[in-house]
Amino acid sequence: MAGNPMDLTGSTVLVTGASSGIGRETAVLLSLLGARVVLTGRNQGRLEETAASLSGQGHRVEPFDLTGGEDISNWLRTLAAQIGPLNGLVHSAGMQITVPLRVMRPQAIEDVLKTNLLSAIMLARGFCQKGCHAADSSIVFLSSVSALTGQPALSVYCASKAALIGLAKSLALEWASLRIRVNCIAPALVRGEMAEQFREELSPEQFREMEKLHPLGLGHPRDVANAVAFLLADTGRWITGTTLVVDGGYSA
Amino acid sequence: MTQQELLLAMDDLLELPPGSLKGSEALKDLEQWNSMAVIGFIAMADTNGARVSARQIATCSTVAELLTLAQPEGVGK
Repeated sequence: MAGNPMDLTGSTVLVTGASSGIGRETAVLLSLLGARVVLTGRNQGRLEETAASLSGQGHRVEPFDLTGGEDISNWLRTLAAQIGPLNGLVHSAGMQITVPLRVMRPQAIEDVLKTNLLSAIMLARGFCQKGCHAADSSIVFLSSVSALTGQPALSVYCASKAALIGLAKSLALEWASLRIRVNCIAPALVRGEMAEQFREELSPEQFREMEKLHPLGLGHPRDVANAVAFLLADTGRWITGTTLVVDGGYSA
Repeated sequence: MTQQELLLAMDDLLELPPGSLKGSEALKDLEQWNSMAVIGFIAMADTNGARVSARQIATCSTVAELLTLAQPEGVGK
């Protein structure tokens, strides 16, 4: 793809949550742009399905439970020793539990924070190790527009996604000298499993109201993947510490 | 969860004193039964091993009917 400013030929990018939704679509797009993609998630079978839909060669399936207590830094060090330093990290693994805080179980609160936030912190910490990241590399965290607007019955989810924005801003400053850029994407609701989960939990009227909050309609995972690729590629070379809102007008 | 435990969980969800609900109450008469409570009930049922949709909840008119939904498959369903 010569002349394409979003060409990723020669890049290696680790994508978490690559077994479904935005993570899967991001992996597919990055491979189309020429990147070698390392797919991670808990379910090997579903990761293999994603791998089968990738373009190009050299991709890897690396099942790993980011919340399982295993040492993420050690895992990334081992991975980099095998495949070389990473040019990019996309943290798309996430968990959403829709429940009013008053009745949310402490274990559920911990699960959401671990999956959405603690894993991001530990991945970033692992990524910045010597030998794990290439020169001029990039991290993209999947935050959420609800981190900026708030959402009833999603307080812990929103808090975890808002924390990613603070994390990205701080690490952007901390690691500018290492030439590691750190940014967030803040999507609204896109079609896929999470939207279907919402459809189950809400009445048909409530779901229609939710759709109406998106002036351009619900998004597609590809809409978000495009923004991720933009930040990872040379098009994002002067962008760090920012949050790119991709929400069909939800927050306009 | 037993029926009694579910009733107590519903009391808690609706911020009523423990033991308030007996099961025969009409949902439309419960001031605290609102959209947030519906979402809380879905989460409560999920904790109990039952997957409940908003559509199913809309078919219930009493607390007892609602609690039947909160039982896992094969338990009172």
